[in-house]
Amino acid sequence: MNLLLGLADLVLGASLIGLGWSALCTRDLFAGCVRFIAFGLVMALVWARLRAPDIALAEAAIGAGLTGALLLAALRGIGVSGWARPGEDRDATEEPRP
Amino acid sequence: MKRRHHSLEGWLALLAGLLALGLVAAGVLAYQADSPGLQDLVVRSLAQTRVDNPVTAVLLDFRGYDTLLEMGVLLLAWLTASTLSGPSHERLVRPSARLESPVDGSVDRMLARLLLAPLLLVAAYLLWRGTDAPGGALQAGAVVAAAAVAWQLGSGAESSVTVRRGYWLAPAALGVFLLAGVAVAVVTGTFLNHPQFAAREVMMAIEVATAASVAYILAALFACVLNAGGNGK
Amino acid sequence: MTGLGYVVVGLVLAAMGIWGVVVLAHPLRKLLALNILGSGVFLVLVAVADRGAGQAVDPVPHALVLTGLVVAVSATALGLVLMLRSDDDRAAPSRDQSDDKGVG
Repeated sequence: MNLLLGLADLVLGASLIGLGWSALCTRDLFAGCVRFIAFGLVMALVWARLRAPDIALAEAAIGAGLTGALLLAALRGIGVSGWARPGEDRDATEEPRP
Repeated sequence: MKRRHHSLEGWLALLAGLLALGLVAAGVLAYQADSPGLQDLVVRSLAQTRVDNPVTAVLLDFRGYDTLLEMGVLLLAWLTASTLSGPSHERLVRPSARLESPVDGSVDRMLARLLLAPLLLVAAYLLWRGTDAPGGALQAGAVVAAAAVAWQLGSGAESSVTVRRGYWLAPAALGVFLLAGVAVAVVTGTFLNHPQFAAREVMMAIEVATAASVAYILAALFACVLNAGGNGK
Repeated sequence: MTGLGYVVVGLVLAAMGIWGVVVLAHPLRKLLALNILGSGVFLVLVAVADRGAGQAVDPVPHALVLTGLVVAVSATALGLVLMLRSDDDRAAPSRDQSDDKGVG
């Protein structure tokens, strides 16, 4: 039982770091945002594991629901009118699109 | 605009990150060795509040100032965002923004409407149980905001009217909090120091207002983002 | 000691967030990094509050983190609005949307 919980901790911790890193470093901005939403979901599990049900509830609504909606809405806004479209990210700022 | 991904900057950032990491690690280790934590104090004082959820007691009584000021921060964020996202008559989700919203099509619209009732029920339950079990104003507010976001995506035009008419909800929590603080000060002599006989009721009143304000502000912030992105089309 | 392991994870996330805020160019990326930095700090706080099996959890950091979560999401929303508006201002001269900018 303890071994199983330890394994769960290991998986949760590793996926937090992995998802956080890839949210920052994937080239595609949309993929980064989606990974951040997944990061929020894993975070909610971690709060439950750390005996913080109050925070887990808030994180499930905020981290997974609201932040995701905000990010995707903002991405749409960038995609419509912006200088850096989601797919182009870092290098897109060098020249204006036609 | 040249890309700003210089290697010196990267190394300095890495160094700063590692330094912060080391400092916090040292602090955590020292804390774990020295401090017994505040849980015993909170559990002992819980009877004074007549509330069973220690987190709610901390949020609304023991550290009421934190939550009071949090409401101020939220209000400022909402004011700034709604000022920036356009003049008030076009601040809210316009039909053009709705048409290209991430959720569109009749199935998704139906889903958003179907979700509304259960989400509101969950929020009401969280608010109701929050004084004695995990849950409370902030969680309930967040769930209502999520429901409102789903609803906004499903029906932009009507929801924009609702969002506009509900602006008075934004400062409600701050107002109720301040009123309660002053009223309580008349009895106990200290601002936000709830007397035992009324602590639970005062906290519930603050909770209802807080949930409403958090829900409104978060939903309105989403409308601001949607609108700022849809501007100029 | 599950707590200590999560303290380490939180520290790594916080360091990653600091790195990202400084280095990453796109403002949306910076906001993601800021959120990851915040999550790392929250994780450290809550992990420290969990004092092992059999002992009560310290509710004070929990309340602080709860407050922090709500403030973080509103700050993110504000940052996104700022980003989109500055986006408009940059885009305006070079595109066909300079017509109704700055009205009102």
